[in-house]
Amino acid sequence: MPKDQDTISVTVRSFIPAPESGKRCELGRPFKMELPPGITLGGLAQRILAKNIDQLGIMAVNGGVAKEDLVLSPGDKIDLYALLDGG
Amino acid sequence: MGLESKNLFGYSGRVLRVNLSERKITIEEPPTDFYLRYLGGRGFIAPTLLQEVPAKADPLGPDNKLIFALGPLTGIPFPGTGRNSVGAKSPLTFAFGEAEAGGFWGAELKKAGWDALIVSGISPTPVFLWIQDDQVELRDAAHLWGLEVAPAHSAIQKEFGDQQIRTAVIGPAGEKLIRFACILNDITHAAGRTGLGAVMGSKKLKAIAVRGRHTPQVADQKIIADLARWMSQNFKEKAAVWKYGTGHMMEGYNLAGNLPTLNFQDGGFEEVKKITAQAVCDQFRVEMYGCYACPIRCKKRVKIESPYAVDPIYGGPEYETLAAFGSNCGIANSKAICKAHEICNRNGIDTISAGVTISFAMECFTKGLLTTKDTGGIDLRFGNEEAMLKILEQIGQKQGLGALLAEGSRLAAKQIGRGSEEWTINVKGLEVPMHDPRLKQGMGLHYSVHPAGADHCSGIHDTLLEKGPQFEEWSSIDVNEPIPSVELSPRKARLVYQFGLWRHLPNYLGLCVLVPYTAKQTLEAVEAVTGWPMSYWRLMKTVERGITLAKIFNIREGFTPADDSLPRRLHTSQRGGNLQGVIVDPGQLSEAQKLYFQMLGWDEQGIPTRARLVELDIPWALAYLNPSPK
Repeated sequence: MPKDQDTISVTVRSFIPAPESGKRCELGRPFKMELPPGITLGGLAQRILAKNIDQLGIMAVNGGVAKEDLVLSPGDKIDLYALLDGG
Repeated sequence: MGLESKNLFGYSGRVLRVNLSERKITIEEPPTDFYLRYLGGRGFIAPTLLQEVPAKADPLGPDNKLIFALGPLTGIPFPGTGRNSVGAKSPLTFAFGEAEAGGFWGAELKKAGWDALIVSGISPTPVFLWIQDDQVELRDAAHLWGLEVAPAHSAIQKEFGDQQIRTAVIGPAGEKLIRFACILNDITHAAGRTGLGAVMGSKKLKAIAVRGRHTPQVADQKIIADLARWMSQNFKEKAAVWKYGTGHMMEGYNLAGNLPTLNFQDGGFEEVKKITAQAVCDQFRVEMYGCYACPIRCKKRVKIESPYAVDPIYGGPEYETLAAFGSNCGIANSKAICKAHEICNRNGIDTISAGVTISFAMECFTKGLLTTKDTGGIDLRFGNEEAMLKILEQIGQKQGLGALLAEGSRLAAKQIGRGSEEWTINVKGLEVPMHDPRLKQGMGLHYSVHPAGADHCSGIHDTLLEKGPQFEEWSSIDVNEPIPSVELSPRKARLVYQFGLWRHLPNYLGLCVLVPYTAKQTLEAVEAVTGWPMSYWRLMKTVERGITLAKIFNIREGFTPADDSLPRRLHTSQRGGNLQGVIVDPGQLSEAQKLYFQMLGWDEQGIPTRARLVELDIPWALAYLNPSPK
């Protein structure tokens, strides 16, 4: 099937539970998403995490820390981290 | 007097005392007021140590007391209640010493009908304590002495033919009085910090085995059942820890500059992906398991065949262990880290203190203060996993360089001298956990002022409080505004005071900090279990009471404001990464400490005022600040 020209494809890994994103968003496992061009990192995080957005600590794009107003590009690899750990 | 006649719910109403010197076992029934005033856990330990351990007592001598204390929630069947506290004067810090452990042992002690156990004296020969409900006896432990933790646990179960017996055991490290020896519940759940395993070893007490058959009574069973059901249905959405255990966020920590690396010289590790909890689980995990009544099951069990055989009976590494033996020692081989974890649990050694003491020795070696002559030929450079494991084994056996390092990094540096003190990363002698105060500045303030030293389990994680939405939840305890993690300011001091009291609270209740209850749910749980009308204010005042009494314990031991300091390295910048240039400013820290003390009703030097002692309804403690002239 030809790829929709009106979307970009990115790879996302979330270390925060994202129940509203369904089974494809398994904790710590990368998955592909098709997104509208022009979407920001913050917009993506909101879309994936929904009500769990308050658990979000730090975001990375292609291995570097990134801010929420960054506009995503095709092929970007995005990581969403909470910042509480211990043990 | 029994439980019903005192109208105590959540408690047994009884404290067990064991004098090992006299082989005397007695029972106390504290008044209800005692429970109301101190709640449990750390709350029981602080007044008991202050009133019963004489000033300047040898932590490894007969006058020290080893206290195991449950909270009102310990052993009540809902998630997160498998916790117990342990306390004594610490042989590592010579200050108020305290740690918490999970598993099943605490819940079993509650089911046996006890709220606390206070051990005093020293047995002339090795013994273990056997508690089966009301039946309590000291038994010979000659056959257990010298055994590692798992064989000791198994031998006790076999002796009674009961695999449901729960144990709190020390390993060879505790027997050999290694200053950061720990106590292990059911083989893998460590009361890790401040060297309490050495205190137990000094008393020749190998183990405390418990079997209980009573169901603890609560005031409102329906609320507790509802809470248990709610958490069981929702925990996967509220926290990620169930998937890989702690350590699943290490890549994020790495980016943020919060992953201690090369003895806290850096905050990020290039090879972090190799040592995360996810990497460990993907390669070596055989199962996840958990604590009493908890569906989250955040503990990982690992098995490795070669090159380091790792026995799954000893569980698997948590975040603190992954970072302490991994990035902080420059080691990227997760098999070696799993082996280090196993060595620690086999011997009964605190992984944080061990890892940070070894990273200190590695820096000494790198800078020429230790040579192969000191190490017995071991090339103790950062990143040498074989060397790390050999030195760790030596610590466990108290042999070679390990005998020096078994004293902890602070005392070892005193012996090594030549400026090596600059590279010891400890507060009051307690090695700093894997949360860097240069990012978490409030945690740094907490480390500096906490009576037990650098304890991450009761400090605030600033990164949790940087954003907005959760303040709807925290406003109930009057925490209302987001504050940047790297800020150290008067309002951060207030956060450490106000939110910090709440962070301490689980250790008074017997509740796990990793189970994602809201403040409201925690309050409701305490009310439902005890039947007492509670409030946030009342709970937080109980914590203030405990902190204040622990502080007075330290003052009496001779601690001064100079001891409320952070390692000098944390006042310098990491060498690279996203946090480069950020330090803990000494002036800001000093100012924040003064404000924090004053918020607690102490003077600027950190001495509790008479007014605050009266306000906390512990005026008796004043006598320990102003002892009568002899």
